[in-house]
Amino acid sequence: MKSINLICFLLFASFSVFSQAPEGFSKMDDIPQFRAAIQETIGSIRTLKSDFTQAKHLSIFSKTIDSEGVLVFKAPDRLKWTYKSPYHYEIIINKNTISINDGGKVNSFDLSSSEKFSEINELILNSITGKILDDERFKTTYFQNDKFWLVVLEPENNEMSGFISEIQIYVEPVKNRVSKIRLVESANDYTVIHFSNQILNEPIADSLFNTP
Amino acid sequence: MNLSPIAYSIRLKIRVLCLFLAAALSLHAQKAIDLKPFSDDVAEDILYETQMRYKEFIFTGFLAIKSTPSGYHIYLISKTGLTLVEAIIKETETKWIKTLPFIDKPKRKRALERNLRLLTQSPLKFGTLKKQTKDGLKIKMQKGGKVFFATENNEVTKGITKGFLKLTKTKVYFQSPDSKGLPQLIRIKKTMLDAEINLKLHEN
Repeated sequence: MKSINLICFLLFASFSVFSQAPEGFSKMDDIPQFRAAIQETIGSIRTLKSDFTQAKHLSIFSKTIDSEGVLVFKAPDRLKWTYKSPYHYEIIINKNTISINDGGKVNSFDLSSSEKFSEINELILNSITGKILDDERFKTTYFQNDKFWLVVLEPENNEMSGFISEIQIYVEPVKNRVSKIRLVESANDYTVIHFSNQILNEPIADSLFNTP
Repeated sequence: MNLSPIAYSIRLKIRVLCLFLAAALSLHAQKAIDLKPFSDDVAEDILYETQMRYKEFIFTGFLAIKSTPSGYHIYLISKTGLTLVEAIIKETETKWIKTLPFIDKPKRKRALERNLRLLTQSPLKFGTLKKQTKDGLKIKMQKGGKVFFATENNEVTKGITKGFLKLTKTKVYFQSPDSKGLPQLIRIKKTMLDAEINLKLHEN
């Protein structure tokens, strides 16, 4: 159970992404239009494949801690989040099972075995399906500039706000795609995940999400 | 009792000698430690790939270390980027800036603190030198207990905790120093406890 609790936190970290207007942004003009556009795009996603790069910023460091990998999603409840460099680390959600492959050592858990696990799983999938915009566990505010729509999520739950202060989701207008996610832990400690080479609705076999 | 002047003089000399010896021994005990912890005076970022194992439970991630005048600022980070622990190890206390609920228990924090103090070699900075031989240094730690740091070529290669009636001892190995003196491998082993910590210097 202790392992499960820890893994829940680790998992959440990879998908948690930030209420004053951030620098260079102003309040969004038409929130209903943005939400409708996002819901329409996300509703049409059957599969999604994307490369990502992750940079961890620490207040005590001059350089970032970098990693990169691939995200694969198949609606409604399959997800594979793989770090390929500089280490191999993989999180797979396949319906009711979650597996973590840490450099070849695999641990699998039944999502129904832990309430917290189910909660995290719901949060992850809600992030991808856009339902997180209606999640009452977050205070949501909307901003924009000429390049991005920005959704800022602030956890209202004490347990969650203890380790994440804000989640920023940057969406490209027109394409309605998430381009960048920024997980803010404190003023100078944050993680930025950039998504690239996004491919939508290409056939992806269910077997890709099998436990290794 | 009446003493002759000669006897009185001898007794006075013995007392003065004793006082002088005591003062000299005291000065010896407080002698400064020549060696510095490996992260001191290093300007570059210090990051270790980290594996912690306790029985069947394994955590892998990163340990970031920054030496500051007041102590050692450390981060324990998961591979997904989340900070599990942020703390500053000071002379007589540890300032816990962030700890996930899973770790935020007094017993777990005490165990983590003990290991962090050893692997950062903080006793070299904060401890009191008790004895120095050609093989190493015996240091009294501020938070209790003693540690013997074995040295080779003026670098610490191993540390072993000592303590009266302490059944569980910790051994920490510092191996393969790089050109800046940073150990490329650090390993902590426990006696009578199925646990170990392995660190490997990370090149980003």
